[in-house]
Amino acid sequence: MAFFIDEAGTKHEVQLDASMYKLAKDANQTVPQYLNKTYASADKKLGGAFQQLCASEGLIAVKNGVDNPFGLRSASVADILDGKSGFSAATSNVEQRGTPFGTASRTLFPAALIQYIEAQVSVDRVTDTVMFNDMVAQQLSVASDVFEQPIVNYNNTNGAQQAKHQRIAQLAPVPTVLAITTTDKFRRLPVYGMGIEMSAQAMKASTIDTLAFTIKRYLEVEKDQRVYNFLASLFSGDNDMVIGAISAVTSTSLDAAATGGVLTHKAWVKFLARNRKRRRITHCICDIDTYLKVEGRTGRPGLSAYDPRLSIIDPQGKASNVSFGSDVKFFLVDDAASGGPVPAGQVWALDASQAISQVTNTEAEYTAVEQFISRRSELMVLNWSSEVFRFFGDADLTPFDVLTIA
Amino acid sequence: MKIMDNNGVWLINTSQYRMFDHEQNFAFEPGEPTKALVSAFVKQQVVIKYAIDPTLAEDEQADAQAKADALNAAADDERNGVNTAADAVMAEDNAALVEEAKAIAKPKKK
Repeated sequence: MAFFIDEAGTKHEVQLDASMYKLAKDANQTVPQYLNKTYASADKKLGGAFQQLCASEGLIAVKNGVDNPFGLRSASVADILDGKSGFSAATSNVEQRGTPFGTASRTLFPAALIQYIEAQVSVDRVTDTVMFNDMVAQQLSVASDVFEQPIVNYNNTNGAQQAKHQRIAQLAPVPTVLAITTTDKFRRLPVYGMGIEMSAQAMKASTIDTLAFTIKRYLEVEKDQRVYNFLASLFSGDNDMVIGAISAVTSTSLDAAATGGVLTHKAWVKFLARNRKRRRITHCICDIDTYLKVEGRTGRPGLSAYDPRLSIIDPQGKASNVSFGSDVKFFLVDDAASGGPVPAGQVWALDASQAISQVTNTEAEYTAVEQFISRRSELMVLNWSSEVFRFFGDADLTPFDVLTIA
Repeated sequence: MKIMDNNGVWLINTSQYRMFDHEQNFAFEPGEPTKALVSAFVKQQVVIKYAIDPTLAEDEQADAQAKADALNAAADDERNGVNTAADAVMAEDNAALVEEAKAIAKPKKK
């Protein structure tokens, strides 16, 4: 049976079954967090409760050299799923086939694998996924595939953007009341799934670390692709989510001199300054060719020849309320021909503080794990359900903008 | 198949994502033949290509495909700043100059 050792050196056996996934979910925790909190007396010198329970069932990736004096080998996936991976030499963990099936090692396997994958995915601040997460204003977790998105009406009569204060006479009733109303929009979260099936040979040959590396690679590609899908849906619209495209402004309309696919400094500054009182563009998304057009815009202030022999009077003016133009981050995507979502010559822009809301259905993730454990399936399924929405729905699209370099 | 403008030509978005044309106010869905005008947006997009009319009979498709290919090649040239008409004139002029040079270089028979 799976066990851990507490600070007093006492061994505690723990009966594990699939219900721990549900209990962890109900507590809004991951399985490792839940087990560590439940068995908080575990001796931290030997590892947290989750780490110790996994180790007792052989769910560890052993190290090499001096860190592995006994020359142990990581357990194969087949041994883990058959309950033969534990380090108790004489026994396997199949005797705890509890409710309704499954072994302790099988029960721990999905959690351990996910934990291991997360440990392997190194933090990289330049990947598209991290960059996209940086643009999300709100992260929501729901336990259903349907949820209601509350949308505050800002532009209605006496709404937050329409109400104006008035002077009032003594004892006169208040002339204007700020009206805050909402509409609910029903959203359905699509569930995506990916099965992982291994042949008997592969299961015998693969250890948990090999499998984790493989899935890690898949998840990196998958998450990267998901970012482009999200961006396309937010800016170009999505028929399934019943949302339209963001309207665009052309560089020519901002500066008549910006023609023939050439951007001018005047057009760029005017684009950033649009709606400056209601948003501050923090991120721009475009392909490399378009970025170079922005970088190489004509009329950009730069160095000019300075003649030190001349005494000059150079009264400088300083624009102070120009927060809209500073520190805009560029998110470079592949060009459309290589699979990117942004059309050539377009810059997609947003205000990260109020543009995107990401909703995740946590139930989808749990159901797949439960089925894997209880059915003794050899096909492990990773399910996820996550979608992004415009924070204000279609009621206020100010946090988004599109520039077409015409 | 989508007809947005009867006076347009058949186009197809070969990218993975929908391309929204703000001039004509509709989206080119990926892989869907769309009859539309060739707007400035369309001209700028490498991924939106001339396509054959999907309603054509089978025996007419080969000619239509050849025409579409020629249009796509010309559009690529235009996008890349290659002026095919000017190039053709220049090539003709060059050929004439080469001939002239050869004639001068050729020793006269006595």
